[in-house]
Amino acid sequence: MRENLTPEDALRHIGDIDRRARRPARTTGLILLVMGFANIPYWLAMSLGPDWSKYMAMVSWFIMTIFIVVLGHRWSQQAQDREVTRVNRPTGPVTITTLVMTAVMVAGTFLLPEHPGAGWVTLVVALTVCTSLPMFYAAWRILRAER
Amino acid sequence: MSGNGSHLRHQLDDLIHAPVRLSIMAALAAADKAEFRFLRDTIEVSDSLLSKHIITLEEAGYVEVEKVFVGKRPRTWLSLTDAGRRAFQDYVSVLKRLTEGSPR
Repeated sequence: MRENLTPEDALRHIGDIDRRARRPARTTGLILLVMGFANIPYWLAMSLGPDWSKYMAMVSWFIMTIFIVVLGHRWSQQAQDREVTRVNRPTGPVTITTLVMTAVMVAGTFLLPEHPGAGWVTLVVALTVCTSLPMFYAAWRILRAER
Repeated sequence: MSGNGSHLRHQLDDLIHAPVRLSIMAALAAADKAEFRFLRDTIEVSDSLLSKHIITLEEAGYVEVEKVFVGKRPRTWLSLTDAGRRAFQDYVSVLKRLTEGSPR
């Protein structure tokens, strides 16, 4: 970078540094988006799928969780973003809503009849989508915070 | 601020309007709080150069330095102070006004 900065150079440089410094936060946002989408087939498999798909879903979710925890810990040692901290708060709305929806889905799997009809399937699909909403919301909050 | 002239460019904060310090301010404005090594790698400077400019910005009241230990490992966290954030926002706003008034 040149020593005597023109205003255009300075603005361009700020944009470039902003993109680099926000990379951990942006990746967290993208992971939350992926988790939101992955959550839908996971709960569909766990609620309505055959046994083999339930095991597959559990193993995939377990691997994904380890990956996210390791990555999240690594990034938290590098930079902290206000929005990421806010959505990760244990008592924050994202965490609480996710836990409540997960509890509803777990309870639902016990209440679901062995051969669910169209009404039950519709309900499960709707609840599955609702379970992903906190993750989509969190991803949106982080990704829209681009300055 | 630089100089006493009436042109907008005289309103640019000299403390920020230097490549390394501008990089530091921009990175901390984006990341809120950054660890020394992350900041060094992000703006691609040496440890000593980064330290030197951090001291200048800390003395100006723009940057806050927090030293902590994670286990036995020392970590230095850097963040903008309220005054630093305000100064950076003002600086960016002057830059935008300058570029809006100039032909591209």
